[in-house]
Amino acid sequence: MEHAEAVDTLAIERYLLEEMTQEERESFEEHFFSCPECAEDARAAVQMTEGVRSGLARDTAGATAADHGVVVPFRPAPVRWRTSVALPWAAAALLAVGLVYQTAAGPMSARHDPDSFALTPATLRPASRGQEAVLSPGPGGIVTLAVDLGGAQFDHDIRYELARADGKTIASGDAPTPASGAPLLLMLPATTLKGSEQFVLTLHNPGAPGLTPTTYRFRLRAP
Amino acid sequence: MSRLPRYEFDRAYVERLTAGDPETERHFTRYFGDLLSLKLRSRLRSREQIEDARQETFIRVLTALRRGGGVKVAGALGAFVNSVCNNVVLEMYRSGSRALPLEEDFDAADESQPSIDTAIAAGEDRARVRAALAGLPPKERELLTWLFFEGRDKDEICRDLQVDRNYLRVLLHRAKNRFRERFEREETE
Repeated sequence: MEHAEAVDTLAIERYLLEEMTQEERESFEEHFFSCPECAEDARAAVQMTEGVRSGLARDTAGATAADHGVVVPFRPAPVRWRTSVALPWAAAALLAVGLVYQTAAGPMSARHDPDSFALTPATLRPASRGQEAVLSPGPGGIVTLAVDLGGAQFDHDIRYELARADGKTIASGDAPTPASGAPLLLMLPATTLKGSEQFVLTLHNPGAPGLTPTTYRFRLRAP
Repeated sequence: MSRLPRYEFDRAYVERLTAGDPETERHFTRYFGDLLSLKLRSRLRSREQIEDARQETFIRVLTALRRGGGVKVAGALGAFVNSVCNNVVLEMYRSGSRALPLEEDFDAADESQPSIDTAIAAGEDRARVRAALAGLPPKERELLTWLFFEGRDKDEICRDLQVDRNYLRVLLHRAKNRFRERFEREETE
């Protein structure tokens, strides 16, 4: 594909809208990998679409509770070509470093020496199993949840919603689906959880709105 | 994606990349990382597969360069990366269960996650992306949400907007250009 043709036919838009034949797609890819102008356009398109897929375009104010750092989803670091389901849990433990970074640098304003910060995640299991966790805030007043997905199926992302027992939503957002067998890690400042004893975390699969959401119930231990 | 100067890849760039210059490697992986993501999203189901393919492509390209092969003309670096990626994807398809083409049922065990470094870098860009999206007119933001977040049927979107598919492209074109303009402005402010 020549540059003029790419511009005249709105090639990047057709590519994003999945309107190209396989031949056209390959031809356009060959072009934008070699054409600096189209490459920059393609890179902007990647940022835009990935941002939208992350839920950044949904809130008119441009920021969701999650973006403010009220809830910080995290997942374990990648293990290439992994075959073991045990590895994601080990990787989850290593993730503590990443959590510390976010905690220290993020808007939650917790300040800790990354070398001495310890996380004490509490495992949440689906409410269908009849379990209700009782949690205590960890260092820095942070509650770290290790959410057992319990075999629930999610496509690319998990949409989570944290609500009080009365149904009032505290925070919500989207997180990439963790590795098979690994928990979804959520960090919350304990101050977020004040005002109610019982909380309900609901996980939705945005790719399959018809599926029943998975719910989790927990309480915060009284100080 | 930090805004990077448009690159006409020259011999000096390829030599720096071959020599392992960290700054050049960083540029290389970010520049082509975005392009590979765009390409691979239409071919692979999970983010882990995409990330695996990206990493494998980078490794093969850098290995080829350091062995003195791959790119005879510096300006062909992009074409070489694309070609290597095609091979990687084909091999992933052949490997069976770990890489499924789009038409297959989705393997629900999406094992994708960015590395911590990637996550931090992504976090740096996230605020700019969010600000650029927030600066779009509500109708454009809504259109993007329908298309890329909700995955709504495009014909249905056209019916709702009372436009045809050609004009849908134009609307996306405008939104994308406005996003790009604002995203670049965010970086300079």
